[in-house]
Amino acid sequence: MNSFKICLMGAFSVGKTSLVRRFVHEVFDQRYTTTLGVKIETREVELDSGPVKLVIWDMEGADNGDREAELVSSRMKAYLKGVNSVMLVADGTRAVTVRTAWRLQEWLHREWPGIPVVMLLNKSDLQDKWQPGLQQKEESSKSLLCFTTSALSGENVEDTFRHLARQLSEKQ
Amino acid sequence: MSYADASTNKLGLAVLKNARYLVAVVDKHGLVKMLECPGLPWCINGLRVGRQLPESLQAIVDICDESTSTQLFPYVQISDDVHTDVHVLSNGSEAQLILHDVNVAYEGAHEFQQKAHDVSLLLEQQAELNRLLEEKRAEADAANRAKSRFIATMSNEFRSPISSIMAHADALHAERRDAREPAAIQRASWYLLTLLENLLEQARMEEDERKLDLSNVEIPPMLSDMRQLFGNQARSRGLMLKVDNPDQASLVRADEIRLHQVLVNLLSNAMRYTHEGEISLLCRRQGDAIEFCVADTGKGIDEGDLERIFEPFTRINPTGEGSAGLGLTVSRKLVEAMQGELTVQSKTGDGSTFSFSLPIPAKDQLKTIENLEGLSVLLVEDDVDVREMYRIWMEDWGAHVRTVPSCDLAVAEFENDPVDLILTDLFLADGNGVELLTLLRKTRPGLATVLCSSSDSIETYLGRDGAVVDAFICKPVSAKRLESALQTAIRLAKSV
Repeated sequence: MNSFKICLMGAFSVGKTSLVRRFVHEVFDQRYTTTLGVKIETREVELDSGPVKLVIWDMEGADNGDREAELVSSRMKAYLKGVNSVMLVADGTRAVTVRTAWRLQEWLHREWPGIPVVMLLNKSDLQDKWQPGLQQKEESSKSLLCFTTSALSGENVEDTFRHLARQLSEKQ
Repeated sequence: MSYADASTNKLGLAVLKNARYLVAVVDKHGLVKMLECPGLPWCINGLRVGRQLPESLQAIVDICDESTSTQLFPYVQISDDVHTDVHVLSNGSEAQLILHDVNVAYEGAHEFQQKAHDVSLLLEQQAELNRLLEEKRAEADAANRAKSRFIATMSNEFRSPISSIMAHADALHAERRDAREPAAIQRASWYLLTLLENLLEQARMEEDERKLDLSNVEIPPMLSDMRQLFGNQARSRGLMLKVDNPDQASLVRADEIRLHQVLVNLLSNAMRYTHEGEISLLCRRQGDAIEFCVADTGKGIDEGDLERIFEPFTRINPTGEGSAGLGLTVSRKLVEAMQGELTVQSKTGDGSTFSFSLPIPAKDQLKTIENLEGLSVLLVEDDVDVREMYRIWMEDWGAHVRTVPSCDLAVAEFENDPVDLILTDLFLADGNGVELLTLLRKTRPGLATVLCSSSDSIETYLGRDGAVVDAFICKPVSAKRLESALQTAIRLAKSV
């Protein structure tokens, strides 16, 4: 069975851990607990071409500092070893997290050229609090595939991981 | 010491419990071949010799290359309460893992990070609220500016007809000095103009623009106006109005309309809040300045309200009649703009006194009087009433006046028979006064020019052609102000 390593990156408190918990365990916890380091989860997904195993690295949040060392710590660089794809997660209610995601994307493009990257605009259940025009802007971006997700309701979470699994499987 | 050895040895168990790491060796299929120090409290469930490596650790081993040095993965969460640094050394056929317990360090760092993130989220929320607040404030400011522009536009629109009423009342009054009606129209017009100017001034303050037309203002006629304006009102209310100028002060450096506006505001206020006794307007010399004092025997103002009364739309006594709450705000700003300071002294039950001082004109500000006798003037004004009034005034001063209502006719008239001075309105049906003056000045460089408008924001229209305007006069135009503007224009034209 093919196995793919997917890393979740993004600013803190955007819902990376909640997305993984939703996808792997189908649960959601309203409490916010920050992730320090990394937590590794796995789940098998049945595709038309057969089963694949997704090894998901839920990484700690990136700081939106000016320097690269603040954005991507040395720990995070170690976690990226052997990565097949990256999910960049942003919180639609916080514009700063979208900027962090775009900076991470630029960094990945530079340091990990060719790695498939998708953007998840999370917390779609709070869409009334999103920055105006944010979704259209991100979705119209040609450089990055963008999904709107909600770890709370589960909207698009399964589809997004499956989409990535299919893409990785086909690529292989 | 192996796990089997240690677990059967009491001393070994004690050592293992205090150890902060464990070592595991796995084959290339992930089968655990050997464990060292595995009996720790944080030891991973399922990590046993002969079993498969737990998935999270297997995921790490899978991505490690063959290497002679260890590869480090810090702060890996192995289970809910176990965090380790994972060191991997792989030679292809087997891998050695060293799991270093970092729970203590992790707990401290995690608690710190959790608090830092909580604070960051609060700061972000605060910043977002500030942004929204700023947005709302900008919206409110824009709405306020729109309102102010509307008030300014409407006030300017009102100026022309009031100007006409005042001018014709002046003429009637000149003809029939003993008739009451023209004087009543004059007073009512001045009062209406003051209310209008208050509104306009408030709008200007919000737009942060104020234009002054400083000149040497004659004090006796101004005091006489006030006596006339408020005398009847005081008598009808059983009050005594005293207007006094003991030093026979004659001139003050001020904007005539603004000074008039301030005095009307102060006297109106005094009249509004005084029910018995007297109201006085005192004018006296104080060194190089003239001091104006408006005092009343009204109910006075609480000490705590003395500054509040200068705030816009503030009425200490809400039952005060006919007050928009703008008079004192505007008056203070106007006096400040004329280089003075409006102050108040008051005690509850003991009346109030409002005072301000304005400078006496310096010697070089005293103008020589130009003779208007025989001056040829072309008057361009599309409002027939205003045009006739200006014509009558100027002819009274001995000028020869020709009048036209438009730019085209003005050019034709000027080409036919040039004049000494052009007096034109800014806005005309077929063009604007500045363009007209520019054109005619080219034909005759020594031509004296006066521009008149109901708008006092003329910079937009003047542009680079500002130099073609010798004197500007803002409506409403009194005979005295027009005469002063004509004299300024003639003097400037002569000096070129």
